[in-house]
Order: sequence, then structure tokens, then C-alpha cells
Amino acid sequence: MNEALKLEGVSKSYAEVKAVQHLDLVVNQGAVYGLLGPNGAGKTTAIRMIMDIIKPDTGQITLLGETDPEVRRNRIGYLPEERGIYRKMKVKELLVYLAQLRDVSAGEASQRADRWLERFSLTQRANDKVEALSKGNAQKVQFIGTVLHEPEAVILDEPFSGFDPVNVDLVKNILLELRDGGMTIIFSTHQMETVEKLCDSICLMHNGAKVLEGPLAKVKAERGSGSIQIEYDGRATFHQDSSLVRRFDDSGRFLEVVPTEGVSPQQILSRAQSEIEIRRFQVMEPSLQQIFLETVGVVGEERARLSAEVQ
Amino acid sequence: MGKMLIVAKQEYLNRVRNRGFVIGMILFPILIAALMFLPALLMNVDVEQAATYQVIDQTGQLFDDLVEALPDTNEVGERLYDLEDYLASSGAAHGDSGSRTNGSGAGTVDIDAIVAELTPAVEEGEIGGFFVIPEDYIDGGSAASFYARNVSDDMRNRRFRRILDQAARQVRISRSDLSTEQIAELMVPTQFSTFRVRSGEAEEDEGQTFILAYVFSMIFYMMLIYNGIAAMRAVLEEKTARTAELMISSVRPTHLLGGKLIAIVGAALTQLAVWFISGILLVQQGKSLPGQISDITQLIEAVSVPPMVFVIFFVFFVLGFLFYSGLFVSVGAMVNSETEAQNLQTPVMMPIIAAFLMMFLAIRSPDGMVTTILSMIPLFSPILMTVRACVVMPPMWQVALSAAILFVGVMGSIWISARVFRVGLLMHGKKPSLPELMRWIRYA
Repeated sequence: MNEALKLEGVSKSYAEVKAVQHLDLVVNQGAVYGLLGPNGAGKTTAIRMIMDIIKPDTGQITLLGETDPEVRRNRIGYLPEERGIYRKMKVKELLVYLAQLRDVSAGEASQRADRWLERFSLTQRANDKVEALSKGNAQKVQFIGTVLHEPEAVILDEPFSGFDPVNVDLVKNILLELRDGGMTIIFSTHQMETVEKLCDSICLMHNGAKVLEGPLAKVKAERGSGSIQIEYDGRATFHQDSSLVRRFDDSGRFLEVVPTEGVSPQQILSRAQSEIEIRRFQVMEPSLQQIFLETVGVVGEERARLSAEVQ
Repeated sequence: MGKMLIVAKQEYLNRVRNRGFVIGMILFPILIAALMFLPALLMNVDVEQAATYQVIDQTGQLFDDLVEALPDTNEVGERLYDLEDYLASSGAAHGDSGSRTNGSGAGTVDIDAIVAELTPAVEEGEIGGFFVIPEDYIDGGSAASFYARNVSDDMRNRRFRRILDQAARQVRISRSDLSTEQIAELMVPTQFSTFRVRSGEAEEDEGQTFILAYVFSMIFYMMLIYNGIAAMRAVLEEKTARTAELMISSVRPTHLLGGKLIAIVGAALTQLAVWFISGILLVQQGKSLPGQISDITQLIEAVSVPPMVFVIFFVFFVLGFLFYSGLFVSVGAMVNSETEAQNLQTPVMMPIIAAFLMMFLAIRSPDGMVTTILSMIPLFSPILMTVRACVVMPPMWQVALSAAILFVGVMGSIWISARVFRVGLLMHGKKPSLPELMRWIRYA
């Protein structure tokens, strides 16, 4: 598979703050890639460097096979974290303008804008000024502006913030469609749930440094010490066998166990079946949030704060 | 280049469709017309109050001449200068008027006492003022004095002085054996006209050249400040509305800046074209208007402007606009709020104001050393070169050299502003200090 994006040893400091430290990344073409981390982790700085909005102090960025930002501009779509579009312009005029700046002809841009506005139920607002739109609708317009020129890759900084749940779903579905059409999608978020549903691969950042990177499934398999939830009738004793179960939490009819290293869920199941009547047996994958917190290795208050942030 | 033109087109449309721009475009000629015609209109309306003036005529010979020489009336027909012969009236009260008419008793007048007596009356507005004419005034002796609350009206002061002088001369002449006709003949004033010599011809000039130079400078000055500040605001808005990041990801910052500058110049030229056309219409219509307005419009119509002056104005206008717009745009990119912008725009505006003031020097001495040097400096050359071209066409090599220096200046201004623009657009928070600014320029 080809690489859509490659960062090699990229660093950026502001005065005393090391915003990004020696970041290496590889994003494959056609992937949905999530850049995760709490506020201040360096996600936006990394994205701005990828977009050549700020220059890295050191390191090299290759996007769509190009190291020169000028030649790749038209092939990328960008949704900045700080949303902002010309408020005095009309919706469709703005979209055509943005596409023209990416070398799409005015006629073509106009047709595409119509299609997209319809998709987002904004056809009626095409000739309204942007400032007359609600915040959510303005966000939709800006999202359209990001993909209207049919880029090979889009880079979205917190794409779901500011949308209501219905529109989060809409945007999510559109992103998946675009991925099916071959587009590489790179986005940052601190909403771990979205990532689990959408991403093929992830990179976890903390304090400007990468702490974890790889395909989501692999990350989970490697890092995860998943628990097993059992709903049952009868009297269970097997979980007290420490060769089988490392940790447990028994509520009489509900039991959650963490298997001892090397023990498969299958073994747990066969032992449980012999003792109790199982009504539900579920292997729980570790949540990204758990993985993140464990990887970063924070404790106490810091952990509580981060935990709240990455919810 | 293509993207720059797309930006230019869109920015131009955004600017020209702006309601403020349209209103400004309509109001500006009205303002200019008001500035030009108002003084003329005000001259017709005499705001002066009619008042009585006491004349302490110690010579005893000038009073009648003065009354005759000051026939001015205000709009209700009262004499503005209702003169009273102080010594005659007070003398009559004392019963010795006979001694005054032959001038023998005048020497006994106590001027200090009279001044002390009349001063409160002046202060309380009972009389407009008073003249003290000493006995030896007619033969060039001591000075005549005028006492009033307002003595800053230089035009009036000069008029009084001239009239007194004229009256004294008349008395002197009348001592000779000349007849009244001969005296009248002697007193006939002469006329004076100015002719401007240019390209082998001479044409009469009643101040048209001055007006032309003034109007060109005024247009440049006001448009530059108006459009420059508008451009600065637009960049500031780009920053505060956070559109900058999206734009910079789509377009090279230099192209974005270039497009904006083209749009500013385009918008200014649009204004200029609209005004030029309305100006022509105004002059054509103005002739049918009454009184002084018609005189002024005829004066304007009589101005013949050689095409070269227009060419120079156009070239320096466009270059000057680019030069200053670059600076204004940099200010917009550097600051975070309207208030900060206002503080920082002042240093950019100072040279424009200075150049506007230097205009008067350039009109008086268009070929002088100082004018020549100043008109080579990009900060001043747009206004000064145009003024020089209006007054006395400078040598072509000077025009070309000044334009070339200005062109280099434009490049420098754009080079610096592109860098400040690129970094500043994405900087929020503190306004940069000068060393920080230097880093921005080096860094980008």
C-alpha cells in the first residue's frame, strides 16, 4: 500500500513549550486515521505543520508523495480547528470561490456545490449570506468547502465538534463514503468513541509526543487486557482460581472477570459452564480510553482530569 | 498567478458590493463639492453684526472719507461699520465744536482718557470698536490704532489699513493744486494678471493650476487613507473571523496578499472613475447654477490638463496605492483588535499627511532642491510628483527615476508585508514587539 502521509522526526517548539516532539507517522492511502489525545497534546500543531501553515523546526513531512507544499495544495482538503468562513459572502458563492482556489472551474464547482448542498439539506440557503446561517449550518458549509474540490486526502481538525448527534452521524457516513471512494481521511479528535467506530489506524499523542500508533485492532489486541462479563444463575466459584482469573467483581448475578495472562476467554467459558447457568457471556474489548490512560501511565488527579477530557 | 486573480476578483466584488463602500463613494464627491463651494457660499452670507465704531479723528480731516470708503451693509441693509465721529459728538456736548472743524483744538485731546472710557463699551458690545487716528497720521507720523474685541480678522484689518492709508494720501494730494478730476485719475487702481508659460504657449491662469494640484493631492490623500484603512480592517477581520487559516491552506500567502492588493487598487480606481465622471457632470451642470458656484465651475472648466499630467497621476496613484496598502495590510495582520489597529495605523498615516503638507512647498517651489529630493522618496513621491507635474512639469528623467524608486519601494513594501501577513494572520494574542516583528520578517 502507498503512503498518503509520512512524518519523519517532526518537532516544533514555541518559546519554552515543546508543542510537538520528534513525531514519526505513517498513514496509508485510503485509510481513516485518527490523531488522538487530550487538549494540548499537540494535535493541532501537528496538523498545521502537515498543512504547511506553520513550519516545523526540524523533520520532514511527505504528503501524497510530495515534500513541497505548493504542489500538493489542490489535492488536499482541510478543515481547521478554528472554523471561519467569509460571513458576508453568499453560501454558494463562497463554496464556488473555495473550489476555484483549488483550481476547479467555476461551472464544475457550481454543479458540485448544488449536489452537496442538497445532501446537507441546505439547497434553500444557497443564496443566503453565511452570517445568516446557524452555527451548525455554517459548519456544514465549511465541511462542504473541505471536500468540494474532491481532494485525494482530507485533514480534519476536530470535525465533529459543533454538530448535533444527527449531523455527527451524517458527517460520519459521508466520511465513510468518501473513504470507499479512495479518499484518505486524517482527523483529530478527543472523542474516543468516534475513533473506535470510524478509524482503521490511530496515533495517540500526549504532551507533544506520540505514545502509541498502529491499526486500531492491533493496538487493542496488544495493549488490551479485556475483561469478560457474565450474567448467570447459580453459584460461581471458578473466579476465585487465581490461575484462571486475575481480577474479579462479583455481584451475585453479574460477574466481571479479568483473565490471568495466557488464559483465553474460551477456557473461562468452559469452566463457567460447568458451574453456573449462563444467560450472557461477553468478551469486553478494552476501551481506547483505558488503553490511553494506561499507556500514558498517569495516576491520581492527573488521571481523573485526562479521563474526563478524553470521554 | 491564476489563484491571485481569483482572490483579486472575489475580494474586489466583496469590497465593491459592501454598503459602506457604495455610500462612501456617493458621499465623497458631495463632501469635496461642499469643501470647494462652501467657502464661496459662506462668503455670500455675511455673518457680521452691524455695529457702531467710534473714530477719534485727531486730524479732523479723515472721517468723511472713511464713511464713504466703508459702505458695507449686512443682509438686512444696516451699515456694518456705522462710524461716529467721537470728537465731533463729544465736542458738541462740551459746546466747543467750532474749534474742531478748523483743527485747532485737536491737540488738547486726552487719548488715554478716551481709551479708558471706550474700552468698557467695546467689551460689553455697546460699540464694535474704535479707531484712534493721531494728529500727525496724514504725513506718515505715528500709527493709527484700531481697538476691538476681535482683531484676528486679518482681511478686515488689512482693509481698514488700506482705506486709512488711501484717505491720508488723498488729503496729501488735495493739498496740491490738482483738480478733482486729476486726483480721481491719480487714484485709479491698476490690474494684474498671471500667464502660465508651458510648451511654447502662454495661457492665463487665475489659480486653476493651484486648484488642480490641490484636488489631485486631496483625492490621493483621502482615498489612500479611506481605502488603506478599509483594507487593514478586512485583514483584521480575516484574522478575527478565523478565515485566514483556511485561506492560507488554499493559496500561497503572497498570492493571497497580492490578490488583496490588486482588489484594493481596483476598488480605488472604480471610485476614481465614478468620481471623474460625476465631476465632469458637475462642472457641466454647475455653470447654470447661480453666483459664485458658476464662477468656480467656469474656473475649473478653464483648466487645461495636459495628458502627461494624467499619465503621471495614474502611474503614481497605482504605485503609491500598492506601496501604502502593503503597509496598511501589515498593520492589519499584526494586531488583534480595532483599538490596537488605530494606534498602529498612525505611523503609517503620518507620511501621507506629511506629503500632503509638503504639497504647499512643492507648489511654491516645484523645481527647488528640497522638493526634488523629497519627490524621490517613495513615502512622499506619489503626492509630490503629481503636484509638480501639475505646477511645472519636471524633467522626464526625474519622473522616471522617482517612479523607479517608488516601484522598488512597492516591491519592498510587498515583500515585508507578505512576511508579516503570513505570520501575523495566524498569531493571536499579544501584539508583536519590534524585535519580534523583525523575526517574523526574517522567518517567513
